[in-house]
Amino acid sequence: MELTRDEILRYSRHLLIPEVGLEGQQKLKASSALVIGTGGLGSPVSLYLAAAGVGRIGLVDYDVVDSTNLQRQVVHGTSTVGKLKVESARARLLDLNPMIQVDTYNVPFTSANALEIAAPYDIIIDGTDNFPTRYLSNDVAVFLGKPNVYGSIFRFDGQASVFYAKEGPCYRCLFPEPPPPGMVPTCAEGGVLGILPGTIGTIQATEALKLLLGIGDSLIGRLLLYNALDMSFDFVNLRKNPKCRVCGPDADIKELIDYEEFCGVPGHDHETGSAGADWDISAPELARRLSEDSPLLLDVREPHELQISALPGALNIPLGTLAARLSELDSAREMVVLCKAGTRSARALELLVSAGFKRVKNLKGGINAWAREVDQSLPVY
Amino acid sequence: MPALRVPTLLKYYLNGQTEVTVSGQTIAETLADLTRQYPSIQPHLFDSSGKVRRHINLFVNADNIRDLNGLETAVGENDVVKILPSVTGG
Repeated sequence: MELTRDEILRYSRHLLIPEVGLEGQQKLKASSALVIGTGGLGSPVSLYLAAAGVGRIGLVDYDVVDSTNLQRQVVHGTSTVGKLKVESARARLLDLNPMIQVDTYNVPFTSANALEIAAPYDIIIDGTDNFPTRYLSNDVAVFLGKPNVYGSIFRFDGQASVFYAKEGPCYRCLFPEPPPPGMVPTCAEGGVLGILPGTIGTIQATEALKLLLGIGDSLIGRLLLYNALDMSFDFVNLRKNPKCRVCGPDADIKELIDYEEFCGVPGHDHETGSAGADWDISAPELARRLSEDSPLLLDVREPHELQISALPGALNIPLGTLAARLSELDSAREMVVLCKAGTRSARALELLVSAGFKRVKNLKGGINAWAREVDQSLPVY
Repeated sequence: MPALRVPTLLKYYLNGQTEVTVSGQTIAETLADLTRQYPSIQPHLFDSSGKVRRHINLFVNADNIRDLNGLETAVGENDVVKILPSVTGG
C-alpha cells in the first residue's frame, strides 16, 4: 500500500530505521489491530498504534468515561467524562493521526459477536479488565488463528506476552482455569498504579508492531513479569500445554462458550456490589435502621481505606483476614457488612453465611452509596 | 536455601515481602515450608482438597513445573521458586 507525501513526512522517523523503512511503513498502513477494552491498557496501546500508522484500529468497549478512569486511561480526558469510551478514544486517535481508520464497537464483547468483530483484524490486543473477556479473547484468537497480545496489571505488577496458538502457547495453556470468584481482585477493588498500564500497554503496542512488521523476537513463548516497586523485569518460559482444551491435540472446546458461567463472575469490572435482593440493604434503609436499633457494622475494607471515609462505630476486619477472625463476631447479633462499593462485603457475607451467621445484610453499593445517598459530607472514591 | 518469589497480589500474606527463603529439595517441600512459615497464604495456593489451585503456576527459575516434574521437581540451594497467579486488571 503506497504512502502519500504527507504520510512519508509524518512517518519520517520510522522510515529512517532500516528494520521498518518504507516497506515496513507500508505494511503498517495495510495492517489492522483490534483493541479489546479502551481502558488502562487500551489507552496507550491504541494511542501508539495510531501514531505508528497502523491503518485500521478497532476499539471495543461499551463503557462511558468517568473521572476515576483519568488517573491512568490517558486516551480520554476531562472533557470526555460521561461520553462513550470508544467515541472519546476515536476522537483522540484521529486527532493524533487522521490518516488512519478507527472502527468503534460500542457493545460488550461476547460469544455472540466476538468472532464477527475480530475476523477482519490481523491481531487481537487483550486490554480487558476481567476474566470472562480474557478467556473469550484468547479463544477467539485461537479459533481465528490470530495472535493475541496479552497484558494484565494489578497494583504494581504487570504481565505481558503474545499468545499465538499457531506458533506457541495460548492463554489457557498457562491458565487452564480462572481463579475462584473473588480470589483475585480487580483494579476497581484493589487499585492500580496509574502509570503501570502505560508500561505494560506500551509493551503490548511494541509487540503488536513487531508482529505486524514481522521483525524482532516476539514474546511468543515467554511471559514478562514486571514489578514497578522493585523496577524488575523477569521472564519465564511458556510452552504449549498438551492438555490445553482449546489448542491442545485433544482439544474439546471447539466453539465459544459462556464465559461468565465459566469464570463465575460478570464480564466487566464495574462495581455492582450486590449480594442479591434477599441479602442487600440500601444506604437509606440502613440509615433508618441505625436510628432505631444498633446492628453491628462490619467494615471489611483495608485499614488505609478508612482514612478516606468511614462509618462511626464500625468494626474493621479486612476481608482477607475475616475467615481467621470469625470468633470475634457474635452470630446472634444482627450485622451489616460494608466495603467500598459492596463487592467485597458481598463475599464477606457469603463467608459469614457459610460459617452459620444468619442475621447478616450487605450494604448495597458500599460506603460510596452511603456517601451519595445519605451523608454527602463523605467523599466517593 | 532456595528463594521464593510472589507477586504483589500475594505479598500481603508474607508480611509484605515479595521474596523469602524457604527450605526443601522439591517444590512440594518448599511450599510446605512456605505455608508453615506463613499460614495465611495457604488458602490462596491450595484448594480445600489440598491441590494447588488451577490459576496458580509454579516456576523454578524460568521453567514451569508443569513442563518438569510437577510438585516433585527438584529445587536446588540457589534456585528461585516463583509463584504466579493469574491477574486480570486492565
